[in-house]
Amino acid sequence: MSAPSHSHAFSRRSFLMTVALGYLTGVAPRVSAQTFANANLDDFIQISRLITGRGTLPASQASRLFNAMMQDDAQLSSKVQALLRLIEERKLGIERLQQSLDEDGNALSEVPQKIATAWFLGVVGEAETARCLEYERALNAVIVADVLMPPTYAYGPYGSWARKPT
Amino acid sequence: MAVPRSADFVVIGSGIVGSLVARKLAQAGAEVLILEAGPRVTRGEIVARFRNSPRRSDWMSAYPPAPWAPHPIYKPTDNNYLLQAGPYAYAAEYIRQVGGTSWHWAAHAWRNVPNDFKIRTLYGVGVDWPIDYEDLEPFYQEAEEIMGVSGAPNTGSPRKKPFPMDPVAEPYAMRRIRERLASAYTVVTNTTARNSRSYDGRPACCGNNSCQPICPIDAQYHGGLAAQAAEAAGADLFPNANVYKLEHDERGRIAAALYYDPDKNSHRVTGNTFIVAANGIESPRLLLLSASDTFPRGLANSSDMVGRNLMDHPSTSLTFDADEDMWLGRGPQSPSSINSMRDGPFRSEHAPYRLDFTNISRIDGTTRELISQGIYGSEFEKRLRHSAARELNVKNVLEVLPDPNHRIALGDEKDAMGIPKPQTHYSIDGYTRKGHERSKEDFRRIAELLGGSNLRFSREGDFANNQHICGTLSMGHDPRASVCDQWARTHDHENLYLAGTGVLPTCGTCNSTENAVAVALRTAEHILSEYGVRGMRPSGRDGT
Repeated sequence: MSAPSHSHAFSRRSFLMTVALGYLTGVAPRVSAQTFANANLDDFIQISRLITGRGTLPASQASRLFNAMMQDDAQLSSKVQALLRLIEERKLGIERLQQSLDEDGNALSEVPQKIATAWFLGVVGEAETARCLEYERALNAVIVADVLMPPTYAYGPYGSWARKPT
Repeated sequence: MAVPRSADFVVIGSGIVGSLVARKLAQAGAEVLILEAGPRVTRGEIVARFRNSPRRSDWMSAYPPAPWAPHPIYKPTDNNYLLQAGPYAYAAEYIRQVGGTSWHWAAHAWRNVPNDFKIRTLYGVGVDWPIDYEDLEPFYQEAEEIMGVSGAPNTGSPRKKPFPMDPVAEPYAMRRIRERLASAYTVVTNTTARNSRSYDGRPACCGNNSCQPICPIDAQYHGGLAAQAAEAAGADLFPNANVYKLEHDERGRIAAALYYDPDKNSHRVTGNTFIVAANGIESPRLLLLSASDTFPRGLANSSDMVGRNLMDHPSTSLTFDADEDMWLGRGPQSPSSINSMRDGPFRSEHAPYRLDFTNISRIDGTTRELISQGIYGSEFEKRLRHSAARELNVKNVLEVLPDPNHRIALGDEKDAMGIPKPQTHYSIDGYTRKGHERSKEDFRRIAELLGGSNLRFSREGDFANNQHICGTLSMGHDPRASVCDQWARTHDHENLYLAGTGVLPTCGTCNSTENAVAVALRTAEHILSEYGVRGMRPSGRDGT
């Protein structure tokens, strides 16, 4: 898996190291809310890479989706961290993740589907609170972009759709 | 601009049918006022709503109803506007805004086949129309020239003049389907109001694959364009005017239309001639709402047929994977069909049907399905591309016979304006179900010829609705068994005409819009010849 393209170099691991170092030295670091947010976003990107199967994900898109999901669920970050721990502890492959959570009746089982919905459909929220954050850049459009345009976008001049797609 | 308090012609409803009647009257020099319950909405707004919709497969999500002019909405939750009395739910969709429901259609602009007009005589089922194909042929042509229609020559509907343009270019997937089925079926390009060249100031199709819910470039005709054309011809169109009652005078002539503005202030408009064109559900609802001491069952309802004989085109379907890449989603959404089962002696036994191939992109639906199955990672991408490339769908478009028990009535509940909601009584009868059974043989054969695997028939007993609301204002010769005559004039009210799909006494196997437009253009011609541009019969000819 290639390195993410996002610009957040400050990883969760380095964040924890910084905090730990601060306690060890007795000098509490000045950890801003932004720092916490960056760490949480990194976790979100990490789980997103697993769910989407994409080694690189656009940072701005990740940030938009993450912030929107946090508006709906303030506990999202802790759920994502718990999910990452669970995956590591159980050595869960992504192909078995949802089934495993569903079989266990795990409270985290809705998290992967919500993240998948955000990335693949560009949609965050459900029913009346659902909103579209991405259309042309939703991954379900990106995956087939070599052949298909998102509906409402033209294929080119009249009749261009008559040719065999290549 | 204030709404005039009087006009020679008052048209209620600005959909494609009402607007084209208004246009024709206005072009002749008549004073025409159109009252539309819903608001004006632009094409750009609708495109933006669709792109920003969290439910892009729910085409109605681009058309939220105005609070003062509700229409049925089912997702994300049912707004309970169209009440269901059963036994089979009739989940009709329509749009109350300037231009009406054909903002959102596949632009299918079919003519009936000639035998559709006389199925009682030929097959012993349903009813005969009070007119035949020859009566309507010039008005089909007129409709096609207004809308910019093209199609194949061999669909069973003879014509005296050519289509105004060549058929729309065939998508690659449809070409492969046509070629692979050629040994057993003739697959033709559908008859559609979609430009294959620049026409009437509108561009040729660019293949955007969003015909439903909205063509982003107006390459396909719709009611919004018809409303514009009516206004350009001189008609006055007033949106947000929700007509809730028609008043009559002591002679039974319609005297006025009462409407609510969005603040529920009531207004009154008088006229010489009234044309109700508010769609197959809202038009009968208005006639029923207009009951009086003189007409206790509602206007135009001495026969008790207003709202009855509700018909649509139920569909069942087969989804399967072809053995080659097709990539549905390139070009228009609904380009090709098989027409060989639209007519024949079998109609005495079971419903006829067309077989329609979809070219709607599979992406949104497949994405939702895969997520619901918990398919993530590289497997998601692999399966999405597979479905996008290989998945095909064919559906039938089944005829329904008129049955007075299937109807639109007034419900016990009221809408936000305090007006009783419409209520449906509906079921799928044996004639239609037998047609469904017969079509499954075609489904299987089609899948076989396309090397189909992973066959998924629609769930047995489920019939998808096609929003072709017919029959609720049926025309006929017999005033005891129909609502209006061959000119769509109500049997009961000399100056009240009806326009829209509700007037059609049977539904055949083709989308109802062009039939309704053609009948309405014939109505307009009749009105002008009988009443002149003032909408008044010459003295001594009005039956007094």
